[in-house]
Amino acid sequence: MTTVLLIVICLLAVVVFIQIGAQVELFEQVKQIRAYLDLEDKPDPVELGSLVGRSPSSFGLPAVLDESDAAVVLFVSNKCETCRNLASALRGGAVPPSMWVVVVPVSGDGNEFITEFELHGERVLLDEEERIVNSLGLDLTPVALHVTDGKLTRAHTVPTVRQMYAAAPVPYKITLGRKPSVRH
Amino acid sequence: MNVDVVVMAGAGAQAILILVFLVAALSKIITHRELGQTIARLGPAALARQGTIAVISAELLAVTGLTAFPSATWPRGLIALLALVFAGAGIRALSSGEKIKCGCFGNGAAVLGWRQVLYLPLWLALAAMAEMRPPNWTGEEGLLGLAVALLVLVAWKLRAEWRVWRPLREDRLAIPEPTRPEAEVPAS
Repeated sequence: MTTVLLIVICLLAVVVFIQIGAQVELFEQVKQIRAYLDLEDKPDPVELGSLVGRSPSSFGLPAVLDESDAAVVLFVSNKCETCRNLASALRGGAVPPSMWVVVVPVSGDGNEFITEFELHGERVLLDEEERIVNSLGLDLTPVALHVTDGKLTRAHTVPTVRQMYAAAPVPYKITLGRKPSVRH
Repeated sequence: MNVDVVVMAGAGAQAILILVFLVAALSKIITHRELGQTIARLGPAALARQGTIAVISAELLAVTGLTAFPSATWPRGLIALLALVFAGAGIRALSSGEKIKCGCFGNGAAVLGWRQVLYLPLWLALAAMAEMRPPNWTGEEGLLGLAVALLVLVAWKLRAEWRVWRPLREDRLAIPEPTRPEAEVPAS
């Protein structure tokens, strides 16, 4: 009886091992597909160093951010392709709550970019002469800069549109009627 | 030499053979297509499927024999035969000058070559050690040990699954959920 039981346990364990192995294989394939389709959107942290704990207004950002409990500032340049994707999603000034957008004019004055994506709104800023990014020492875009209790806390890259929405302090609703579109 | 040490060495050698060939056989079952491709590149492609079944079956049979019939000679003979086949495959891959995936432990990046040739004396030595002083566990004890080893392997595989699944799940959670309808407020 014991022998039969042990044989059954062994057989079941083999079946479970193969099943789990097949699942691992499946997950690996999903990972590969995501990588192939450029759907891997893990944000990379950006080191803020001594900027952590400083007030946003000291770098030229709106003073209202100094009073904010939770906000995020999105820096997009008018040249990078990812920035264009993000801006396309924000077309018409549909900026998530508690998010501010700073357009960094790498070439030209940036107004063309703002006009192209209709980024008109009180939470969209144009970083003229790159004053804000220069004072922050920020040399890459797109980047999300988080503000908590009126202080700079952390920053990270924003590789995709959905990471942009995920970075928003207030959960953001996407409806079919107003789903942000990404134009290439 | 102390008799106990010799007996322990025999049992240890057999246990190592059981574990290595158990992991190899189970890994090959999951990725049997890779093994089929390897066999197809080494010999007649028409026999790839049969070759795959034969290798996996032989490994499983050897493991079962070594576990349930510890004093029997045939499982160790089967191990020696498998080791010779693997070494032969390594030599054939070396002579062809091509990089042929091993498929020894699933879909790893290892290629056939000197490793299989160098492992031949090791497998033969372990089989010889076990043959000289066969383990004295009973068939039931052997099956119990095999069940424990299999459950440990299942736990190890579960850990691997968790490590792959977790980042995928985190990525899935990055999609914004429609939890706050009022949140959709344009800035302007």
